[in-house]
Amino acid sequence: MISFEDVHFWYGERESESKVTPVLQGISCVLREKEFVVLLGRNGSGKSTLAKHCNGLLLPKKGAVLVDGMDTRDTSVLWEIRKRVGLVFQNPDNQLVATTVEEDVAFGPENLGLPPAEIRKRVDEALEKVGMIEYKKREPHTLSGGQKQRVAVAGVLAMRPKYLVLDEATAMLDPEGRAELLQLLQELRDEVGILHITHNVEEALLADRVLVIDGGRIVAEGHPREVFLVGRAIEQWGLELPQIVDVALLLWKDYPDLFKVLPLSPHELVDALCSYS
Amino acid sequence: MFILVENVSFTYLPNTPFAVQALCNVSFAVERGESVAILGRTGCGKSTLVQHLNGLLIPQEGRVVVDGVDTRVRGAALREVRRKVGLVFQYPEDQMFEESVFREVAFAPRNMGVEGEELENRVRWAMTVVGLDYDALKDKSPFELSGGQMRRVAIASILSMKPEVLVLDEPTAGLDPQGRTMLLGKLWELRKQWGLTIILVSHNVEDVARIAERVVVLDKGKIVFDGSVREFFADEERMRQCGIIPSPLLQAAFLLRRKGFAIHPPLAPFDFYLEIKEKVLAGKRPCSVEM
Ligand SMILES: Nc1ncnc2c1ncn2[C@@H]1O[C@H](COP(=O)(O)OP(=O)(O)OP(=O)(O)O)[C@@H](O)[C@H]1O
Ligand SMILES: Nc1ncnc2c1ncn2[C@@H]1O[C@H](COP(=O)(O)OP(=O)(O)OP(=O)(O)O)[C@@H](O)[C@H]1O
Ligand SMILES: [Mg+2]
Ligand SMILES: [Mg+2]
Repeated sequence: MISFEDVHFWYGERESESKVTPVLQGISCVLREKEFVVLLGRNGSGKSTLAKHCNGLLLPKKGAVLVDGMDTRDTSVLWEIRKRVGLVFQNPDNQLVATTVEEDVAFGPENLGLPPAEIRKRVDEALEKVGMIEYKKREPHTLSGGQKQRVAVAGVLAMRPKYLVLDEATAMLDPEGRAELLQLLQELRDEVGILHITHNVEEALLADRVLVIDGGRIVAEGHPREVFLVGRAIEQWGLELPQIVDVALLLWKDYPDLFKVLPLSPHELVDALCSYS
Repeated sequence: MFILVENVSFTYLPNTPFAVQALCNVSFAVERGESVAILGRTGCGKSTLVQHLNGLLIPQEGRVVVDGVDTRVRGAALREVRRKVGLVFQYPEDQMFEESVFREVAFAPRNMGVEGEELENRVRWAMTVVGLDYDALKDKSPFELSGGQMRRVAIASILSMKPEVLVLDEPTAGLDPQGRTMLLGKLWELRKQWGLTIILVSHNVEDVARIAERVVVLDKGKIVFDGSVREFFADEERMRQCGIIPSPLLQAAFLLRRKGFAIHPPLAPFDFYLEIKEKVLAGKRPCSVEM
């Protein structure tokens, strides 16, 4: 479990808290093993800052982040934490460092000190999973936006982390690539704890749990069916409703007995409509 | 014809073992004031194509003509093309180099001779259009911003030169839902106010539905569809062939059509809600009314 305990954070080494507006203002939340959590929130609300706390890339100024009980501020366990928590950055250019795609993906496993044959296997497997195996000899900077993003994801998968933190990893993917990555996340669900940051509210519908952050605080939390029941009031956090939920809530107001539970998918909506008499 | 792309082909790293043909004999034209979306699978050549529209890339074969000027010219005429056609990059970091947000957004207009109060007003205006707080952010480094804030700066720094054509490569990637709605709304207004021409690359079907009137689809460097948004959204099979997955709203509409309801492909949730009431639930009374 990754657990945030009243985490406060602000940028700037020397600044004291009174001079700045902290970016994280008392975050308490958890990511359990094998749990799929989606984190939503407006631009600048603190999502990437929170993500970088999960593997000790940033350290809390107050409070603590614990990964399976290990404190990220304890330098003696930082290595073990980095092994367990894989982080995909918002901009893949910040992640792709090597001269070929396969070296890039091998970078993590090499650092784990794995034997070459095992590295080979993991690299091929990871590139296969994201559909980039044919590109393994290419230089990362010659790839298109979406291709880079896939390689960045492969690099983290090859580490076989116990927790996966994805910071807008679907942002540049084409619809098929997005669907494939979401499918892959569904498959990983039984093995890996996933924290998926996205602006696409439709993706939140797949989550076990949705977290909404605003102004550095967690302002809503729960199953998507509960969280989206707030209706258009969700706009107070810079968000909008998923399309089907939006339509369903409008209809529900006019026809109070149309749904038993809030439909989330096109199928759920259409089934309810067709069985209504 | 305002923008003409004629038989353009482009290969990266030509004459090497790593050669990649990114565009293959692409032709299309855009009229002043049009709003066109360019779609297609990852790696199909969208970014390569749009970089041709302001002369950043020069066609290896064929030609691109902007308002009568062939982009193969050099010097002043090419600078004129760059001034007319503003291009917002796919990754905002790729276009930023100044040390403050103000300087970044001021860069292009300053180069065009705008200065003093007018410059400040211009920067303030551009930042407001994209929903950035001028006073809070103008002195920050662009590299100390969140992803979505950086995206907004990138868009503002092109808007500030008041281009005649705005070319946006995945402009809403990284924007929060409200920011996205606001930006698309503002672009629509600018189109009405200035006759701004908009060319947008997007993987997001909802963006396309909200802002574009015409859709151009690329597949492996070739144009495979060029027509109206309504026409494109009416044909589920073609969308899927082009690698576009219909939005949940369209999927629900297609499901209802298969069940025999004459639903138009909706562009917004509210349209769909009205249509469902009229065509699916018509004659069925809510039980609360019956009681
Ligand atoms: N600098 C480069 N050197 C070599 N090949 C490149 C370069 N840039 C792009 N390519 C290749 O050219 C093809 C088209 O790339 P482009 O960036 O135009 O795609 P795109 O349609 O914008 O994709 P995406 O949706 O992923 O952004 C891709 O196969 C890509 O790998
Ligand atoms: N390196 C930095 N130095 C100073 N301030 C920063 C830095 N990185 C981010 N910030 C500020 O911290 C706040 C939170 O940023 P963060 O990147 O966590 O937001 P976010 O929720 O990920 O937003 P987005 O949706 O735009 O990616 C923002 O106000 C941002 O300007
Ligand atoms: Mg972020
Ligand atoms: Mg691109």
